[in-house]
Amino acid sequence: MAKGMFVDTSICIGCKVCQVACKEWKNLEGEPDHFQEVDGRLKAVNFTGNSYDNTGHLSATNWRHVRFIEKITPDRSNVAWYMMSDSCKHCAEAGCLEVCPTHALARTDLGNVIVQQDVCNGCRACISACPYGVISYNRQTGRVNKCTLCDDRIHNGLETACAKACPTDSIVFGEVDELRVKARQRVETLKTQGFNQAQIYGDTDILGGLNVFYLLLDDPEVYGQPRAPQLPQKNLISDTLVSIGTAIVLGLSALIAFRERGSRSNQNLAEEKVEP
Amino acid sequence: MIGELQIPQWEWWIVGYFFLGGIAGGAYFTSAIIELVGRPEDRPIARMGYYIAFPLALICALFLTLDLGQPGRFWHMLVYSKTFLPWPVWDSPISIGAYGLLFFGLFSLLSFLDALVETGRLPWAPLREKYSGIPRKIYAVLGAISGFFVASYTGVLLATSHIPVWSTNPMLGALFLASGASTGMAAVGLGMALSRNRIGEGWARLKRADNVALIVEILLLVLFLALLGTAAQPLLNGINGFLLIGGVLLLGLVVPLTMQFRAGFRGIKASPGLTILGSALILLGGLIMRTVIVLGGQGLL
Repeated sequence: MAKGMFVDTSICIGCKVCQVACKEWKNLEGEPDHFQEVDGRLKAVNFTGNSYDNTGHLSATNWRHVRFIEKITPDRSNVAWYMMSDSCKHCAEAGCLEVCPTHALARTDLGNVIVQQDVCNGCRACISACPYGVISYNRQTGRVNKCTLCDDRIHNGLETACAKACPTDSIVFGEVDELRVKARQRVETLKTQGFNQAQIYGDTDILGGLNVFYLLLDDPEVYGQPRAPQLPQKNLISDTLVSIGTAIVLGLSALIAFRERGSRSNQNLAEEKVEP
Repeated sequence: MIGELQIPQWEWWIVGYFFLGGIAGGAYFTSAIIELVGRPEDRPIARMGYYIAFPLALICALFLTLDLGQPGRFWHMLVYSKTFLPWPVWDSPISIGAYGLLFFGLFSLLSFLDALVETGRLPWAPLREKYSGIPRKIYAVLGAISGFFVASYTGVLLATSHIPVWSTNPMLGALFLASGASTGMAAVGLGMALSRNRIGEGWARLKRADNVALIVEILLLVLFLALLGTAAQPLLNGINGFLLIGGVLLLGLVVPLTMQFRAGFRGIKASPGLTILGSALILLGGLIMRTVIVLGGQGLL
């Protein structure tokens, strides 16, 4: 049975403990762009200026990122402040895994997608194959990094570090099928409370189902998530067919050029003159 | 980043690989066609294509390796490092492309040695006996197929992504293929002009085939940009637009095509100087096109 996480954004308080727990457990360094030595002392720099978000995006050293979304109506009469703890979704149909030429990206028996650091050669094909901007290149190691769903913990009967640390149980770890039932019940509860746009993001309708899925209070785009992502391999057949068609045209035209003209070669050669 | 998407940070090694891979595939294809239907007096053109293709295939492999974050693990592309067994990934253009480059390297090596033996530049007797007995046409066909594959899969590789410029329409593989054919023929033409080879009517045949490749490339480039719609903005704004329209479409395609047509209509053979200029423009256009599409598509230009 696949293991995963249900992230209920309606009870996230934006404390970022999940980010800290992730960094602690995985021993991830501070984001190089956000720390610089100034006058001999290490200082935090490059603040985003975006709400409470100074992480900005997922990266090789930030495998979890709490998004802060301030949604303000044009007349400023209504303000919504959303928080979403984002990470790898461990898609059932994972584009990153399918384009990896070295089999470094692999799915374990618990359904989580991991990067085998001893196999990855840093070709970076997986980066642009992910519709969520999850996988990042680590220039220090020459390999890619992303959330592993705490592969070491979950294979030893523990829950993920982020879920363990979450003080509101906004992040819950467990069997994906059981979590989906719980999520659907939660959506119904929220709708009866007036949150009409409450919805599950990542049910079986998206990439075969996301093993890390979300309860959102607004449209996916508001949270920076694509509404209907598809596998990048959808382009393979059409691109290949157009290429083959072009190859046939070029091949035939070259064959004709070198064959037909051959019969008249001597005559034309005699008539040829060289431009001064 | 492009919006929420991470970019693979493919830069100059990849631009160089895509460009040289296209030339190698196109040059070998030209030689293979001559191998199949050409006349004896066209043999120098065929040999020039072989002389170009194999060294470039080697450089391509080198560039591809240098771009890796872990260059020492280049062999992981072909063999699963935990079992040491080949394990191609059919949904991965990079995986299949690595095998394609391997096969192309093999066939282009055979043809390269064949050309050296044919001209007496490789006088080693055992090799001479061995290669004179191998049916050249068979590996010329297989090499041309793998060469065309190397020239075009790079576009398909880009398309198998979520980067909007690369993945919005299915034209990129075909565009890179046509560019590979035109730049490959231009490289052969340039090589012939620089080596002062007298190839008579073979020259006209090469130019005729090159004209078709240029016309196909112009049509595909226009179609590619038109089908991109609003996604084409990163390629058409600012310096990218100047390079793509001015450098590729006009200078790299329309101008050399006009030069070659002009010579063709007047029934004259272009002077070596004009041939060198036309070929150089086609090659420059091919390089700029890869640069704008690869770097501009990632917002790196």
